[in-house]
Amino acid sequence: MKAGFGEFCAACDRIRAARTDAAKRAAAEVFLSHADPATGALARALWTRGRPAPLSPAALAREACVWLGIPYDPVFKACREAVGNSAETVRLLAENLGCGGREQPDLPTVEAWLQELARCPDAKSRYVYLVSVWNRLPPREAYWFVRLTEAGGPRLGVAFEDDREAGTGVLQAVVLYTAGAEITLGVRAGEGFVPIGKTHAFPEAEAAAVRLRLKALQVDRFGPTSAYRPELVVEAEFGHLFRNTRTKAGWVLKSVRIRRILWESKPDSVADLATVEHLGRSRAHHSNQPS
Amino acid sequence: MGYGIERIGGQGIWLSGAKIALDGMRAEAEWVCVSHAHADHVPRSRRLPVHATPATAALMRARGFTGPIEAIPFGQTFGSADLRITFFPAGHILGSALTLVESEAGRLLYTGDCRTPASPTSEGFDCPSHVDELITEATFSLPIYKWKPHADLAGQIATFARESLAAGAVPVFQAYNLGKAQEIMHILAQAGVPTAIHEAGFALCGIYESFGIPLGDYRKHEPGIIDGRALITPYPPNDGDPGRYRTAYVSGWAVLEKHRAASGADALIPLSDHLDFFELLALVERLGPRLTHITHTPNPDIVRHYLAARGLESRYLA
Ligand SMILES: [Zn+2]
Repeated sequence: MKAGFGEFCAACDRIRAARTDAAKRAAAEVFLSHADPATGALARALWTRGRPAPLSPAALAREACVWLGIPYDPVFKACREAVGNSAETVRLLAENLGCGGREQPDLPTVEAWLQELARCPDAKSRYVYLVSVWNRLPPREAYWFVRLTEAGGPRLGVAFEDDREAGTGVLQAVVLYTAGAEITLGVRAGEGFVPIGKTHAFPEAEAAAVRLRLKALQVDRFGPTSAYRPELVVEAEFGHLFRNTRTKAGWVLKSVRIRRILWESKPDSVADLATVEHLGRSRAHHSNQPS
Repeated sequence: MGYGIERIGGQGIWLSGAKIALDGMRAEAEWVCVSHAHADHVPRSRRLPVHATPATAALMRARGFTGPIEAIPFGQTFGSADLRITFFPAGHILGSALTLVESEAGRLLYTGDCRTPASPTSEGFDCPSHVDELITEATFSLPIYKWKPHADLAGQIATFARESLAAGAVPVFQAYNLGKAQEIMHILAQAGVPTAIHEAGFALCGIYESFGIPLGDYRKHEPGIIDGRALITPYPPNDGDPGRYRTAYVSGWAVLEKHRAASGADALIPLSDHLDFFELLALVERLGPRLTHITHTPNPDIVRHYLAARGLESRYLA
């Protein structure tokens, strides 16, 4: 098997369909096992960070209508209402109306296209460039191309432990409490969850959706503090992991930032105390190494 | 004089000019026709005798309909001297019929729910060559809906069942218990996968077999008993350990990714009982009606837009 962009997109479809972190990782590994090291590293970077370019869903929809040869109102508008977002609507319509190209570029070529798109000086040239890509790629590939330009990447919920930058760690946690702007994250401990660290913001692009979700998950309120059913899973990046025997977890995260919301992950994919313990010990070990 | 088409309760349609009730009931009706045995098309009232195909009659009986039913085979005309009614196979589920009404008001066809290419667990699809007026369902009324070839979808069903069983999990097909359930059983029978079916669907399987549709090795599902069979049920199982089940949501709506999270399913398999958007347009073109009445639809405007572009006049039958 080649590890071209088509195979990368097929893997994206499979990762999205997988329901556990382990299954998502396994779907990613199938692709990585066929890729040369450079392509593999590129795939990991695209999955976790994407190549953000400033495209707006509204402008994208407008350009797509011209390209698909359909009126925005009533056709595209009604379709997007049913589908829920512009990119997937374009994918379905392009497939069904027979639009798009047949090129099967390799991943580095697509990376070059993504960079070229991000370098476009203004909105007009960006959309002209995007349409040229749509004309070259089949609908599925064109769809994932657009998803890779989103801030924070395609948010497929696949994480690679060895992907973290030196000094920082990453783990999956759930949102337990909020109090004003303070967010308390938790990890699994037996049947329940215990607090592991605090942070102050959700990713801006997701903030509105998070507020909505938390409202549905809220179970209790005391003063400024709201408690939630532990079901909103996030990928948290942290600077330090300290031993702290006064907390239930025995460990505490510092300099925590929520990288992204793992909308499709279940609470059972959240790190447990054994993972935290392991992470804490291995980090302590690394920091003891002479540098 | 025209047919005087109007909507009545539920999914019903009333032809006041011909005194025909389709999938509904009116006290003054001279003819009541039921297109197929799905609950939303079967009239609640049992006052008047209803006309339906033999398979629909049998399925209605099995689902508890106690009123009088006249079973009329496909292609056999009934009615009066100046009004002729004929059923054509609609391809939606076993027994489902298109209803053709002919009188001096013209040839009017009511689709009920229909599907072409037909479900392999129906009597096929056939329709008259031309009609003057058409009343059609448009459940999947947007160009985002275009079905994959049936062989692909059947392959997805068989593969999902085999892979789940091989992984030690119970494959669960979440599907409606009349029509979709038996189609999945038929597909799995060809793939050599035995099945267990929810009791409401189980009660209908014998009727499918008596009409010549093989359903393979199946039994009624007993909660808690798992023995290497695929489970077919409208409700996801909730007895204890969710880890032992892998669920596929089988429906035309499964085209949309948002149903992955909403259904909680491990797989989305977009096998539908209905026409896709493009099949609907093709059917209307083929029948060439002077006027098409669009009904049973979340969104009539888009179909109307595309029909107008083909020079076909239509209206929404709200
Ligand atoms: Zn139906």
